[in-house]
Amino acid sequence: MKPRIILHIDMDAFFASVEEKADPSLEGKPVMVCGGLESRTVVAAASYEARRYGVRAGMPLAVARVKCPDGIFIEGDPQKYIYTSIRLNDLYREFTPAVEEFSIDESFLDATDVAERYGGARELARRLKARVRERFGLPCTVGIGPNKLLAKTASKLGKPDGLLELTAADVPGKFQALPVGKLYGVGEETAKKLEMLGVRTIGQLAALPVPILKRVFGVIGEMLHDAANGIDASPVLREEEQPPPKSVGNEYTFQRDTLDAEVIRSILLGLASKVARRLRKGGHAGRTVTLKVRFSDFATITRSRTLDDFVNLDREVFDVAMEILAGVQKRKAIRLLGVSVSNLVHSPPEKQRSLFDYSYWKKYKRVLESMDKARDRYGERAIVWAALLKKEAG
Amino acid sequence: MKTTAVEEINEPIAVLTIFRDGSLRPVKFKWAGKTYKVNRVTYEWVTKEGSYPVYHFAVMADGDDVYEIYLNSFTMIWVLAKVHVK
Repeated sequence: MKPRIILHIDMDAFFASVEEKADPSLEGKPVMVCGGLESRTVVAAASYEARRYGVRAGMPLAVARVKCPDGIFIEGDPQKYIYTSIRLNDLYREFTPAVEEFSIDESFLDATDVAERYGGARELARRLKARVRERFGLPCTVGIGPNKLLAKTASKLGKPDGLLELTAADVPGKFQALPVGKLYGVGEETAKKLEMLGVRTIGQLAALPVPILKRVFGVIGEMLHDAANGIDASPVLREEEQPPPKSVGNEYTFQRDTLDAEVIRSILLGLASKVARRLRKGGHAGRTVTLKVRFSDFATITRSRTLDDFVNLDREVFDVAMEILAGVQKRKAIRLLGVSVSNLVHSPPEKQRSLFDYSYWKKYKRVLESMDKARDRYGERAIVWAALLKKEAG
Repeated sequence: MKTTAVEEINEPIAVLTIFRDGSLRPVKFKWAGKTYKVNRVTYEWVTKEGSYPVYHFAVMADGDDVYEIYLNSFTMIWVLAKVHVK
């Protein structure tokens, strides 16, 4: 079998780069794109100039403002980034159909069958970078490797605006000399545990026996061992090969922490409606409804209820979420609410309703079908539940 | 401290537009009684309002000020969404 050639394309400071392209006066300045401009949001992307001040994605806005007082803070425009991401992936498909949209700003390409046509993987990567720059004016870094793990590590090391290849021959040297925190899949918690085991580099992790890793990390122990040895057989999955979603959920952070029952109920209805609408749009229904509540002191609880039947109607999801919420002690004000539905099935069977409420649900379903049609045609805001108009004020 | 470089406007505007080869290009727009000549389209993107596309443009006009405008293809109304304040 031919050795695989995998490319990992990672857009550099994606959201900030798009904003710089839209407004060239921002170029070369410390730009931070945020979820909002209230102090309780976080930085979604920071330009490299902002990173010099120690600002990172995920940092609370209030902290970023202290670190970079002269920075430019912009409220992000997700639609702009989503559109650009879709167009970027269309561009990648001009090179190979084997494209996996890994996240909004990262994609994997399997170039095994096409690299030769372009004079090799490096030449292909160079052309790709040039096309992205030419068509979108955006910088990206391309990592090349014999698998997704090494390609992703290469792009991480090659940033920004770079092109780097890690081959199987680089595993014992360059790759295993890296700090263990640089290994894909090793988060802060895992890195801390590894440090307690005296593991500081990827090479030291590779040398640990699998039984020890399994004892400490459970099922992921073996995966960590493989990853530390540069082994990764996972395929590049095109859109049509992606597994169906395991859950569908939405969250909402209140502008001010609240204990107002009416506001909480209204937000919960909004969340349940959004989740149910997404379920129906994807042809899904689920049996487990989960409610997440974060209080003002950041204490967070999640409670789930698994039902006998599959649900995907607004009222069904909302009722269960309200029941769960009723059982939650609300001594402190609520900062965030989240609703999700899991245990999904595609094309759910028609539900058997009791004779007593059959006619109600039949009518309710018909109303929702009409609402869905209106939204499909005129947009999500075309028609909403009246109760949602009373949502959080100011 | 600079908190934002962008001001939300969301007002309908009149836009002189060229439709050519299946695409559209804003050339001039009128807002608050003043006409702005588009010097450069710096970025463009498309969103959807239901099944109708909405065409967004970031344009440089009146010197190097940047304005975000969009055309909703259902209402056929151009809107000045944002102004990047220098």
